[in-house]
Amino acid sequence: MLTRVTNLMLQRQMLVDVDRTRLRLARVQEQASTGLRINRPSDDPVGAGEAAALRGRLDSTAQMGRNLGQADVRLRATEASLGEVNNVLLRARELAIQGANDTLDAAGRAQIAAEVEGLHARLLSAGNARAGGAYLFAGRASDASPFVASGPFVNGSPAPTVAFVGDPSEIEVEIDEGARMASTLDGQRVFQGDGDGDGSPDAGKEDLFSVLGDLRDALLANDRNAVAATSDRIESGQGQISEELSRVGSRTARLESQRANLDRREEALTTRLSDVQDADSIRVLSDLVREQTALQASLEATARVIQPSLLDFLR
Amino acid sequence: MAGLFGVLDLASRSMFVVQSNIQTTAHNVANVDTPGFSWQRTVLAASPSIRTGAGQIGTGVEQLTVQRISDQFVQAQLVQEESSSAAVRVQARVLSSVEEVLNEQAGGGISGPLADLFSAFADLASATAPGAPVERQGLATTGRTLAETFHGLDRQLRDQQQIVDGQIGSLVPRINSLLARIASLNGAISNQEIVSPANDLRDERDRSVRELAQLIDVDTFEADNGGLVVMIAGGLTAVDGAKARSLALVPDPTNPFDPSFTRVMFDDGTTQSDVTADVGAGELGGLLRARDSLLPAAIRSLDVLAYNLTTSVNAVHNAGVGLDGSTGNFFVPMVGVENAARDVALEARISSNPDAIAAGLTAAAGDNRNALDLADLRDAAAALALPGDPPGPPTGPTRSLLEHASAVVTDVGQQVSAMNDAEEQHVRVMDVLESRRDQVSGVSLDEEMSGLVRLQAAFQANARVLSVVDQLLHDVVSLL
Repeated sequence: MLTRVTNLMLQRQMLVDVDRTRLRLARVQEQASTGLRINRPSDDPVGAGEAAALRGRLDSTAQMGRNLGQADVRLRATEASLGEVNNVLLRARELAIQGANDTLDAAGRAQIAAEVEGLHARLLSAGNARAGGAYLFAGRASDASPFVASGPFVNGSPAPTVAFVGDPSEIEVEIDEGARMASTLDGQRVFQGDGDGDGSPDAGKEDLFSVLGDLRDALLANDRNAVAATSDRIESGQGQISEELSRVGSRTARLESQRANLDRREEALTTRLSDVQDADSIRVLSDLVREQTALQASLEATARVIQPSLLDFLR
Repeated sequence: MAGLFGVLDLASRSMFVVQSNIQTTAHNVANVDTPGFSWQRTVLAASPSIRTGAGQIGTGVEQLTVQRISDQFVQAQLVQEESSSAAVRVQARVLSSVEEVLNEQAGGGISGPLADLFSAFADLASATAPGAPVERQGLATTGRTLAETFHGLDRQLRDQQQIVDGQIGSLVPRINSLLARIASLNGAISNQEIVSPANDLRDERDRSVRELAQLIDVDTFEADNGGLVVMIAGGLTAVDGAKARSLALVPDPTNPFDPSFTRVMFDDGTTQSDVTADVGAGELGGLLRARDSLLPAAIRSLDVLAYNLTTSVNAVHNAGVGLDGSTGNFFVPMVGVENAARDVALEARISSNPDAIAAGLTAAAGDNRNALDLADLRDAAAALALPGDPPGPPTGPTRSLLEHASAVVTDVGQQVSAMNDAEEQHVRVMDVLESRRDQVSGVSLDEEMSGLVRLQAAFQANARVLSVVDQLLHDVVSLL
């Protein structure tokens, strides 16, 4: 219980009250000017920890988005190359059927052979396609052409052979935390049907280069039966390519769904981060007004209380 | 025997007492704003009466003493509170500056550059261009930036430590001069109190003790002769009567951070003893704790991050092969956790030749397998190696590096927030105590003014008595 109220008491109490109000006002003003509820970890250690974790996940989500972009470029380029291969094979099959026709003479077959040589060159350049400076079908050895022909076509000698000098591998990209997806195709498997790396086509697969080479040789040799035989091989080569195309398609689909997934995640994380660390602007404004009023009131009360003493009433 | 001369004498003595009363009132009014001043009042008593056959006849008033109104219990609490609140205040100050250094809300701190490194690993892994020359260059730059960020944060924390050590150095002379002042006040008080209470000297001594309590933990008790015995640093007698001891600082060559950091020695006149660990409170206690425990904890937690980053990145990096066919570390390997944040650096061969970065398990230009593994370190949780770990598996908590980085900041935030609460608490307690002190010992102008009005009336009444007696004496003389 107070028995005496002295001048120092009044003065101190007023200073303490005004200081406290000013401190609260300063905090609210900081929130208003930064728009953040948490300006330093001590404002809310738990919230600051969560905000840091959320920023980390946002960062990682953005990184995955960039990874997807890179994979997308490669998959699109791969798809385009495979489309070109498909066209080459389609035309080659037409030519093979045409070349197997009884009515054709040697000169006619030689003419078709010349076109097949052109198709062979197109196939080679599709195999050596590049995206962003990298050879798509070279696997990890992406800085050099994966397919090398033993020489040019020479009349009278057999077609040149094409060797795979790349790396029989697919380059993986991280598309989600801990999840990887191959973003290229193994060139040896696509173009030479050799998925197990033993140097010869697997069962039911074809080396597309040698199929075209054989077709050209058969046409030049005017061997109708041999020409007809390549026609079936080309057909199975087409199956091989459409198998690869569907592989690319399923990867593109996975990539798109992952992209949608990341977008949703980013939105959820951003919303949560804002919930955790942003100041509620309406509350901040009303707090600001309240603290300003409190400060004014406390200053006014002080001014009234501190002035009068008995001295003012003594004559 | 009563007589007119006796009354004359009585009236003039009481006028003297009233005057002295007015002087005390004036003294109170003059010191209304003096910090530490205790309200004084004159203690009056009726002077011994004269015994006559007709009963006891009064002889007026006399002034016994001037009393200083103070509450020793409140003073003792204030002294305690000054010490503990000063310790909390300086620690809160140091911790907030640590928080500012590490603050990520403002875009600083270590998590950003650390996340950038993992992003650079991921960019290297997903790069399309053969050999990824741009991404390699970017990774080398990011690695250097990260190392520089570690160095910068470490330097700022160590600078804080230096500043704190400097403050410790400037506190000790102030403590010593306060001890000497209290001792000399002790001497003056016991000399003066042979005659009468040394009110204003006691105020000054109480003030000095409070000032001392802000700097170091203090215990006091008053000896019989009015001398105050002052004990500091958990019970060492620093002032006894008019004798004062002192503190001294000596460099500590074994300090792991800076051999010029000092230890606090108590000099009892013949020998010095180390009391660094005994100083519990006051600014000195708070600063010692900041220098020897709070700041080292912050520095070491950065060290833990830098060390574990170095070892885990190197372990993966060593498994791979650079574009140029070389193998080896990414960061310069560390000897131990201590000072890792200060010493962390990119290997020179990486820094000067980014082709040495082991992105693949072969030297093939498109091989990104090792870069993928490096990027996976971002979320890989492993037991962290701590300072002073015995040989063998690390003993720290199992966390990813980014988790540890944000845990460092959150821990500091938690400490700061707890410290701020404690400071707030101390301010409130101090408020209450100060109010109580002012309530008891403060000057109330209203009280003084009403007293003054009363004294004025008393003075006038006594003067009236004097003039009546004068008139009576005049009448007696005119009869002669």
